[in-house]
Amino acid sequence: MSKKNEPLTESYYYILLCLYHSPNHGYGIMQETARLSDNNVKIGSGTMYGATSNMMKKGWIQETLSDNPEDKRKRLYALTEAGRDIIEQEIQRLKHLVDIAEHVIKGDI
Amino acid sequence: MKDTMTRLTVYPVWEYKKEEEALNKASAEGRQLVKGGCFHSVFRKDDSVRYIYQLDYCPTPDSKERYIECFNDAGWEFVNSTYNGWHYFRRPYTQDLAPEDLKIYSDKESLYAMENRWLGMITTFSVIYFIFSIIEFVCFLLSASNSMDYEQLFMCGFMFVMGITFFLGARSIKRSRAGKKPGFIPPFQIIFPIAILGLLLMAFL
Repeated sequence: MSKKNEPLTESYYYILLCLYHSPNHGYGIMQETARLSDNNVKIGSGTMYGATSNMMKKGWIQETLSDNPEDKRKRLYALTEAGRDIIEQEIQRLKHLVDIAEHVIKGDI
Repeated sequence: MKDTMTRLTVYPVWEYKKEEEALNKASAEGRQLVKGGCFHSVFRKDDSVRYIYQLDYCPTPDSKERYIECFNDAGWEFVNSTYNGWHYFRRPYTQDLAPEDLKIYSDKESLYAMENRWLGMITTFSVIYFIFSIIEFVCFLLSASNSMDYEQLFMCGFMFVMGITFFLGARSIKRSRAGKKPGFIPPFQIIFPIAILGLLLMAFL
């Protein structure tokens, strides 16, 4: 991904972030997003379906099956290398924005 | 009283939110949707439950199973799909549901993406109607020298009314995105019978 990427929507951002360490199922992503954002961001099902379909098409995430026999939900989403690049670039972009803001506020720029 | 009933439920695509509200109201009054459709819907009388409804347009889900699972995960129950790609979902109504639990789209990007899937189509329809309206008018003018051909004039008017309806319907969606009122759209209760009549006349004349 050498091209400059569009900023991610909050939903895309949280979905990728929720998959950073390990694959998760759709239900888990929704719960985790609500928890991480103090219930400020709740991903609706239509939004979730659209985002996961789109990110699978782009190759940022892929579907895998859970091998845990106790797992009721078999369908998992996993971050791909391309997806990991995307979320890391986005974090850098956001950090950079905050850095600039801090400099402006302090008046040293 | 019979406990299943069929109702004529014709909503133009730009009024899909009105259909959701009508379904919510029907459910509160004890008429529960069994099967939703573009022209008619089936309800069952049941006062013991109350649901809230959402409609989604997704003509080609990459996997219908994954699609429905996504909704089940957030507490939505799949009711049925129409032939042209609309899907009905419902969840039991409770007073403690947060406002964001009542909607299947939680950001405007994804909501607009869903609407854009049919917005382009109705804009195209309106252009096609306008073009045919002009063609009919030109035909009428060319034939007017011999004898008045009112059939062509009628078709010209019909195409124009349909074109303007689709155009204003599409505009109403764009206006609501900008936070404006939908503006005037010819009421579909009148336009729909005219559309059927026009199509029948076209087939037989």
